[in-house]
Amino acid sequence: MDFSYTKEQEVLKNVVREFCDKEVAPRAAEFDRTAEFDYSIIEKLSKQGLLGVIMPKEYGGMGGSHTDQAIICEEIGRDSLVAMVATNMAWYMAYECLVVGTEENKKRWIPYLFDGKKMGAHAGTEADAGTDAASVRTWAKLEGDEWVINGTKWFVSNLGKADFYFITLRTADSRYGGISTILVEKDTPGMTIGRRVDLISNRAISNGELIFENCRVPKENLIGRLNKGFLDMMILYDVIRLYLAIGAVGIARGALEESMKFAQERQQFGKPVGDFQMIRAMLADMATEIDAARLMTYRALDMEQRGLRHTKETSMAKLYASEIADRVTYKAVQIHGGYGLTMEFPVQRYWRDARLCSIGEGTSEIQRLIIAAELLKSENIVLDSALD
Amino acid sequence: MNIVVCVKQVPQEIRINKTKGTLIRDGIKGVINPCDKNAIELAITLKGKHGGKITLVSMGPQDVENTLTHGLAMGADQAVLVCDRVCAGADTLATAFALATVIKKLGDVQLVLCGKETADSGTQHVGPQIAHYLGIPQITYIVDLVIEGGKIRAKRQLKDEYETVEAGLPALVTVVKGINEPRMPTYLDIYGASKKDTHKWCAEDLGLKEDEVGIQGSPTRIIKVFAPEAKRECKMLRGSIEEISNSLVNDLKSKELA
Ligand SMILES: Cc1cc2nc3c(=O)[nH]c(=O)nc-3n(C[C@H](O)[C@H](O)[C@H](O)COP(=O)(O)OP(=O)(O)OC[C@H]3O[C@@H](n4cnc5c(N)ncnc54)[C@H](O)[C@@H]3O)c2cc1C
Ligand SMILES: Cc1cc2nc3c(=O)[nH]c(=O)nc-3n(C[C@H](O)[C@H](O)[C@H](O)COP(=O)(O)OP(=O)(O)OC[C@H]3O[C@@H](n4cnc5c(N)ncnc54)[C@H](O)[C@@H]3O)c2cc1C
Repeated sequence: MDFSYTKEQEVLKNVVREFCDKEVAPRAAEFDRTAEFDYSIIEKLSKQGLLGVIMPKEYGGMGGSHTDQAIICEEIGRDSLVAMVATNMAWYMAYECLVVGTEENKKRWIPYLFDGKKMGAHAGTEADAGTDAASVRTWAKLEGDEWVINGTKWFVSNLGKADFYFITLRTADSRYGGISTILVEKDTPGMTIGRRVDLISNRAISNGELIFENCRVPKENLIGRLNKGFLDMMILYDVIRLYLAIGAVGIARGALEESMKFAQERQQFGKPVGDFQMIRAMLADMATEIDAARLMTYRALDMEQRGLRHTKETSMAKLYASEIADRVTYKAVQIHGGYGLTMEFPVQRYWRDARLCSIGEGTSEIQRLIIAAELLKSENIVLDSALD
Repeated sequence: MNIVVCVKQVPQEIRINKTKGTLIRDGIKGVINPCDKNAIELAITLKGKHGGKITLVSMGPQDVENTLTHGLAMGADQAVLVCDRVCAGADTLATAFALATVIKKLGDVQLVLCGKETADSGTQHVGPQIAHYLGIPQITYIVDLVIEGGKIRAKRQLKDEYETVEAGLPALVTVVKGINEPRMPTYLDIYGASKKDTHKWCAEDLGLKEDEVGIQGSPTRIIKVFAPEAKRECKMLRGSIEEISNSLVNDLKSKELA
């Protein structure tokens, strides 16, 4: 077992750092303040060949490893979780198509979805269907060669910014066995952008309501297998959750690095606050937890790379990384004292942004349910029911 | 047009152990010295115009290989790393001697590029000393370079003026940071770099004797390293706007700042 970086990965990390120092770090606070992300960063990242490197070469990717992809995500997440989420959403849907799509889906859609410019969005959640994702009420009915969609989605990230939306909806009456995913391009008649919600976390990723009223899309817009959408989503989550985990590691590392700098500079009682044992203990715990979270995430990514099943390892990494990100960013604010609560230091933003990690892509409670089900080999309320 | 670029790995962050008076290198990541990236960028531009081969040369520990990979990813063709325990603790003279020996061994080199200075020690000695050992002309602090009819013409950035100097080839130049914007390698460039050769040479490969390199070959002794203390003073100026501005101007004048 070797978790050290190769020499190419060392260079990759330095290059992504250079990119972030120039393009991301100086603007992260502005994105937060204005609640607007600058999507031109994605094109720049793509020009460097750093967008969605795990996508195979035949689909415009680099055929890179999950470790390479994680290095890129952690580095961007270190400066801005918003930037990481936004850049990932420029390749996630293509990756989804690759993993769960049919051969026709891949040929028809991946070149469209993954061109280094287009932004995607994934609308699963509804006002009454959050954690219980299988209870969605948005419907798609096949009429001739078209799907007709009706319903309202909620908490849709990239709302109004995305070029296309993947909609998880109901295509049959069965609870778990009646879910599918359908692609809707922006400006399709019948799909309207509803209310945008004001967030305290990841503010610059627009989010809110997406409304469907007799929205018609071609039959070929069905992504993956009909009525197997729930299972497909679970398969996909085993990987995608790891990228939120590595984002949590990134943001925690940002909080630690800022705290180390502050603790060495800020003087009280005639010495740097970093000389006080209580501050040092906080720094030591922060560093230790970040390291553990990163290793857990790498372990699960490595299992994915080797084609092993890793549902439990993914949920453990996602659970642990998001919870330590919360603790670490809390301590970072503590170490900064009053300055930690001012908008002049980035740790308050890290603290707010990190909070999403234990809620999005399956809450911490759900991760615990999955881990326990895997441990006890008992009924997994999420996965088993999908197989009905 | 075969070009050698001398590349030093420096710690990403400069920290000093205050009790020991030494530079902390442990646990701090090594990166390419900033101006050396500009030197590599210049080499790539020159290669684009005149053809030839770019060789990176560095002296340092094993992990400098990562730094060299970065330079290869930018566009250099091959790298040589002088890596030997006996070379440790070299001062600028011993460093320059070893680097000059490598360049001689490579042979058929028309241009040697160095950074103006390093981010960690910044003596600006190494470039000129290499030129001395090779017995070739040197032009320091350059911000522009053209090659014409077997000669180079370089613009030097001095304190208050620019100076244009010509020299025959082979020659050595040291470049300043403002000369260009070093490129960022792409993902494919990074993986392409690992297919290029990095030769590791020890002192014996270069025919260097123990007393010519490392601590033994270094006449310099470092007595103490310390971070200069920046003392700040705050002076409140009071009165009308005119009084304040007059006293500010007088103050600046008396300190020869205006
Ligand atoms: C910033 C942001 C971006 C988002 N982006 C998207 C997006 O792009 N696409 C999308 O589809 N969704 C998105 N979401 C929605 C997100 O996935 C949901 O908020 C999340 O799944 C939780 O659902 P909920 O908010 O309805 O909470 P609820 O499901 O109502 O949960 C409330 C509480 O009950 C707990 N709970 C629920 N069920 C159980 C159980 N069985 N056992 C124990 N505890 C339980 C939960 O863990 C939570 O603590 C986003 C949310 C936010 C805040
Ligand atoms: C104050 C001080 C403290 C020092 N402390 C230590 C110490 O703790 N440990 C130790 O081992 N040495 C130490 N040295 C030695 C010093 O790091 C070496 O002499 C160094 O290799 C060259 O000096 P420089 O960094 O000033 O280079 P400069 O002369 O400023 O560099 C100019 C250019 O020369 C080239 N160049 C310089 N060094 C190399 C190299 N090694 N390989 C390839 N190209 C190069 C680069 O192109 C660079 O841009 C110290 C020196 C000083 C002045």
